Order: sequence, then structure tokens, then C-alpha cells
Amino acid sequence: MNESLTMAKALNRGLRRALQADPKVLLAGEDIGKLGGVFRITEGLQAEFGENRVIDSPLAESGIIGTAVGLCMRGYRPVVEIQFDGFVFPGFAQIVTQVAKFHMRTGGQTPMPMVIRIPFGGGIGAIEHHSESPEAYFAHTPGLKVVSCANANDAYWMIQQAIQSDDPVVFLEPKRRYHVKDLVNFTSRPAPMHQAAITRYGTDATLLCYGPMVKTCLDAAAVAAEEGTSLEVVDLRTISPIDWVTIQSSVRRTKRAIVVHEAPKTLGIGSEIAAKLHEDLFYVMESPVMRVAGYDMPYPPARVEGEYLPSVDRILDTVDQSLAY
Amino acid sequence: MDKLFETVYAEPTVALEAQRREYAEYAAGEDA
Repeated sequence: MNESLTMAKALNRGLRRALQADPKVLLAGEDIGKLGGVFRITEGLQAEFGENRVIDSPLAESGIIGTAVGLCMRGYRPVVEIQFDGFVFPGFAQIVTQVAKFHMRTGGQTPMPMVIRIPFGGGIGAIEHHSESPEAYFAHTPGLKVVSCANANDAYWMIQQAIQSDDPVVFLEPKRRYHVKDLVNFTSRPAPMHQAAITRYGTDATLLCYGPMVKTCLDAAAVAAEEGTSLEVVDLRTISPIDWVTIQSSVRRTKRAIVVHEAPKTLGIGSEIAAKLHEDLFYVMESPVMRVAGYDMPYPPARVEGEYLPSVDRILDTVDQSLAY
Repeated sequence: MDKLFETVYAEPTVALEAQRREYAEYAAGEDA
């Protein structure tokens, strides 16, 4: 059965299905109950499942994550919502020092099957703390898994896969794509969560991207096609662990790679991908891996965010540099 | 080390498995 849904609605449906399937699944977060969350992702779920399973928490991220650690120890599968990317940092200590390490600390006895949902990225004209891309902090922390959906179908399936995972998953939702509609297939068997997807096939260069940048890269590939350049677009889907098999199979064919992300360039996910591809495919590639990313500055005021965010033009300029190398 | 590698995640990851192999090869070289 297929249905056209926004990513926001698809996430809501996925969460509802997870709550129905397993009584140990609980949701917690700021304003997620009566209000349904600031983006309405959890709309209607407290009315349906009650205040003991969809919990309005105090405004305290450290407390939200810390409570979820205790719930995991008692066999629950908490799904916590961080209202905006920039607000995760009060809970960062809990995530890095407790959530990521608990399974190893207990010699494999106590897993942390927790999902930390974070609306991330810019492009919505918001003030500071509301447009950040903190994925590299989490991907740099062993013990955490980090994924990002880029369309409604992945949102519906991946949120359920994350909840079923026995490991803690940082689930990044591209907030500026919340209201983009896509066809959701409710019956098809989903791809594994930790697998990248080739969303457009091409032959001249590979664009590697995730979350909000997938649509931007697809737009860039469409423009490039009009100019006679064939770009392949790989949606990473999983940022930690990274699906090197799919990435390398693509780059082996196109021999050129450009990584695109909103997060600042220095020590971002693009740096890791570039290093790994240079280690493994140095003699295969025709040009160095290039990066199109946010600049190394705090996220700028909304009126100039269009200059900061990777755009179709910036991507195509970098493709030209790669092809001319 | 092998025991520690086993306890990082509840479910195995490809990336960690690759690093475990890398470590095992390094350790084998040390012994030789």
C-alpha cells in the first residue's frame, strides 16, 4: 500500500506503529504530548497512548537523556525528542559519558536501546541554536549510531528500525524537509538502516550527501544533466557506521567524489570520507575528494543563511573543479 | 582487546569489525 505523506506525517506514523508494536516503547521530550511537539511529529500520540507512554518532560535535556538511561536499564526502549539541534548540548554529557559507554561498561550486559531524535540543519530562517548540524560530534563517539533520513519513506521505516535497534541511535531529521511529500510504501520490506542508497545513477562524478542535502544534490544533478554532465547521487542514510561498500562501489565507477554537508567543513563527515577514500582508492580516482560544506563559523543570522548553506551553484562549481583536475 | 571489541555495540557494525581485523593483524605481527 502506497500513500503520499510529508516526512513529518511519515515519522508520526512510524512512531505510532512502534508504540503499537511494543509496550516497552516510550516517548519523552519537551512539549511532545499535548502540543505534539513544535513540529507536530508526535501529534495525537499522547491522546492515543496516554501520558505514561508519551511524556511531556521538563525543559532539561540532561534530565531527558538521563531518565532515558534509567529506562533502558529497566528494559524500556525510550525515544526522546530534542526540540532543536542546538539544544542537545545540555544533554551531551549524558549521551557521551553514559549512553555511548554503558553497554561496554557492563561487559555487554546492559544495552542502551535508546533513540535520540534531533531535528537538524538550517534553511528555515530561524535564530541561533535552531539550525545546527552536530552530527560529527556523535559520529566521533564510539558506541553511538548516527543516521539521517532524507525522504518520507525512509523516515517511516528508519525510525522503526532505530527503535528496534539494541544500540543507541542518534536520529537526525532534516527539519527543512519535514513538509516535503513523498510516496511511502507501507508494505515493502525496508532496506537495512545502516546501508546507503544510490538515489540517482551517473557516470562522471559521485555526490555523497545525507539528510537535507540529498534534495539539493539531486537538484544539482538535474541541472548538470542539462549541461551534459552525469552525476551520481548517494544518500548515505547512515553516518555512523558509514556504508563504505556502497560509497566505494560508486566512486570506483565514477572515479570522482564530492561530499556535501551543511555542517562546517573542518573535521566534518566529509573529512572522514575524503581520508578513507584516499586511503583505499588513491590509484582509482582521477581527482582528490572535494567538499562542499558550511563555513567554519557559528551558524549565521537567517538573512544570510543562503550564503552559508551549500547550494546548487556551489556544488556545480566544485563538480567543475573536480572534472577539470 | 577482542572481548572489548565485542562489547562496544549490542549489534555488530561493519566499521568496528574492520578495525578489529586491523588490530588482529597488527597484534599477530607483533607476536611474529
